[in-house]
Amino acid sequence: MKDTSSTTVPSLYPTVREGIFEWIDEHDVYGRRRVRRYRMRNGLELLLAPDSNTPIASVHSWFQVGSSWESPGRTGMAHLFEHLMFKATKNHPEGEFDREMEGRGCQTNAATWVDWTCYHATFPATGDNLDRVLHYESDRLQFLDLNARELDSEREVVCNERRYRVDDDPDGKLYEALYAGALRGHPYGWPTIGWMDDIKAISLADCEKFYRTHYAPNTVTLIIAGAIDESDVLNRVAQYYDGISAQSVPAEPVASIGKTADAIQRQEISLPIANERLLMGFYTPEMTHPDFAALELAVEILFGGESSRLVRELVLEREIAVSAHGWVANFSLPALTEMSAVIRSGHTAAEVEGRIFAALECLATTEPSDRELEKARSQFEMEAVRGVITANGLAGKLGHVAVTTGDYRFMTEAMAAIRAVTPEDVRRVVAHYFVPNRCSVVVGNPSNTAETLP
Amino acid sequence: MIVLSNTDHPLVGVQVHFGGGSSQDPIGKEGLAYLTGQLLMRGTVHRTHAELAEAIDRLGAVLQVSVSREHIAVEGEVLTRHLTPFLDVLLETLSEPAFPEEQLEQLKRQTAAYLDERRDNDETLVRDVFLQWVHQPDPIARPTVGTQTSIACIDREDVLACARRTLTTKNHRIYAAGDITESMMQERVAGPLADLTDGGALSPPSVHPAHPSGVRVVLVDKPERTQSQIMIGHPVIEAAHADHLALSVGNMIFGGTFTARLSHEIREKRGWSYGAYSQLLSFRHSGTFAYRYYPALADTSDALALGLDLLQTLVSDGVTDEEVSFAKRTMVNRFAFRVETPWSRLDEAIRAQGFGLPPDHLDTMVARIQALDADTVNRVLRKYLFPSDLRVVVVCTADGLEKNVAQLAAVDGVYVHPYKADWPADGALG
Repeated sequence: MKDTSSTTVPSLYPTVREGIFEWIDEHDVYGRRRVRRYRMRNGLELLLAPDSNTPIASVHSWFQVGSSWESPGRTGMAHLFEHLMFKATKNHPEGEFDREMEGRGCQTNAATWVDWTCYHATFPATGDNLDRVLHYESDRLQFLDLNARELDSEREVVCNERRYRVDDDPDGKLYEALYAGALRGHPYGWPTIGWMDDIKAISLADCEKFYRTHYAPNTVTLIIAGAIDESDVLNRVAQYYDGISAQSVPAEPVASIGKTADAIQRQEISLPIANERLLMGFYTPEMTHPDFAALELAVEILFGGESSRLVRELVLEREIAVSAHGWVANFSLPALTEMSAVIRSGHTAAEVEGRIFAALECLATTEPSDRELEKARSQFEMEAVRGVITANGLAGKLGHVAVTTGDYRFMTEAMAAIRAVTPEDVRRVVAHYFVPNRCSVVVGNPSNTAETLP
Repeated sequence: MIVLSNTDHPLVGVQVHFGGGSSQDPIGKEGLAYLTGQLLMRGTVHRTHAELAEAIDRLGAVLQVSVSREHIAVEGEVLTRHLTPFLDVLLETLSEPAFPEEQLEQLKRQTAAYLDERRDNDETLVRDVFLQWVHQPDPIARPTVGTQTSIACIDREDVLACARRTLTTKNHRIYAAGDITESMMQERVAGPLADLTDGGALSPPSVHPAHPSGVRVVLVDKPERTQSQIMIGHPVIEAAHADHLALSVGNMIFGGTFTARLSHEIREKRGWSYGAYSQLLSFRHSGTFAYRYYPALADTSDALALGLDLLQTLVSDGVTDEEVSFAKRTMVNRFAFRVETPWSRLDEAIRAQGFGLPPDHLDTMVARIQALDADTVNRVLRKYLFPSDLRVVVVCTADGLEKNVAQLAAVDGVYVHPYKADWPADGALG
């Protein structure tokens, strides 16, 4: 499709002149991908990223509600409700949405995490595919027709998903225990999929209330990327979303801990695994915090690739771990930086934990070399480029950043921040955040050799 | 060599595929191709493993070896501005590997640990056991990463012999996509690789698929399971077979999509499993029809019975014109994803060459799909799917389940296999 839209002045579009959309800004993500932001008069935020070099288009709806909006005893609601969004509406019977999308070659799915719920559809940009996707998306935003039979059936699916992802998965169990222990009382402390008893207790009335509370045009960021014509998209979004009223939005969750413990918090779990597994979580700040980029580079220096400090030491040189990984949680609120290892037979999680703390101590006292920092930066840049090649990839990145940070342009800011980090920044954040009194540890023990501790 | 040049993104993907893979491993030395391939990244005559890793990571690049049943593939991605040093490293690993003894011994220890870890994950476990059992005695049944016993038997002489057979002039193909030209690939990669040892192409072994007799169930017994992982299937025709496209349509109707029969009955109607899908895996001379779902332990017997019955109904009652029409429409409309990016187009080209598909395979695909009808699909389903001759692997806590599964009318035999035990090389059960 010919891409003429990105050169048109937004204020000339009829839907902008009529006040249906307000043009907010435009920005070249990573200096390469032009994105325009509009806001509808009902509060819906729209991001458009045309690309004339692809035959594909992608529509993402990112809702500002995730499991952190739940409360203890009421967990799993956001995720179970995501499943229900694929059921009947007042206009379309159960199954029609999936069948209609499949027949068009459209790939649909959804995901829920702590900060957000995302629905996405990626399809050949031909015929009336875009029109139909927008129709169905706006329809289920307004007219979902919940019933007890569908809820019960989907509840069983979710219970089985929980067994698959958590109960029968060693890592799933370890991560659930880590967050529950390290972030007790924090809105990330319960699992997004929910505790099994809570999932079983969710009622139809709970679902209806959740829908009325959290699903509205002013809680969603709509991203449309790929082979699209901007003027046409604005007309269609206006057609399907302009008539939907905004509603009051609940207050966002707040991090309810901030203090640190006196010492490392520890848990042990008995699992049917071959060797011990170590999972450590350090309490670190949110994605928009000024220290976030330095933390990401620190973790890359420690765990990014075979030449990184800890992969090299634990896996290759000392051969005390099968694998070692690190990740800084890119969430809205302060959360955890995770460090994990699968321990080699004949060695212990305690031994690996000691090596990790020694490496952290080293990095906390001596700045990394320019060479290490540049290597870590190159790995980030590579990942950034790879992540926005497809229409679906770009839409997903934009949606995640927009909902998590409040501004899609943070994608570029984050890359600039990565480039600005100094060796001293890395040393400082390691010394400040990766310390025992911010750390929680969960060890998975092979079940034939260990006791489960309370 | 295939190069798909495209400057939309400052990124280049390069792959060099060598024929061979684990199907060429000698019996008793399964995992040889895997170790040989991984050792390419473990040192050259100029650089140690650590120096290679440092060079690759410093570029922010990815360079790794993927060993399958039929190939050893060296695959990499890099930003355009780092392309030249990246190609230097790539070429060095392929043309001057050192296969250091100490690195082989370390890799063997690491592989042994990795094999243990694979059993921790039920999804991996069910696939590993299923793919070995379902294709025995075909060489493609040989476990790609090997077994604890076979890995221990491999020495440097074995690796050098494997490398001599594999890293040869006529046994490799070069692929690239993205911000790179054909002339650069020719100059920097293809030209120098012409100096590899002379040697012929290693063809995947051509073994007629062995069809199972009866519906045989192996319960891979693992403690503390709350659900089971079920995988069912048997060998089928290869991707280049004239009937493969019709079989793909039949598979799509049975379990290829979210609204297909399998997902509809198992997940949507009963809520028994988070996922329920079927697939056709392809090799050069054969393939695998497999379907998988994972119900709670308490639902396993009923879910297994239903899964077997659904396949029986598919073959005996056939598919309808409406189902075929819908599946064809879906497949045609999904075609755009095959050509979305230079990298997806390259994947298609690699697949076509690897499976021996005709050069115009993609160009004619839509027309060939459109030409299919329900009669053709039903003929193919009856000819190539065998609901009474299946191999079923269930990762579960077997206690209490064995008796229930044995009582299912469609099941001809049930065997319990400890999850920590290697799958028997001869496939002998019981």
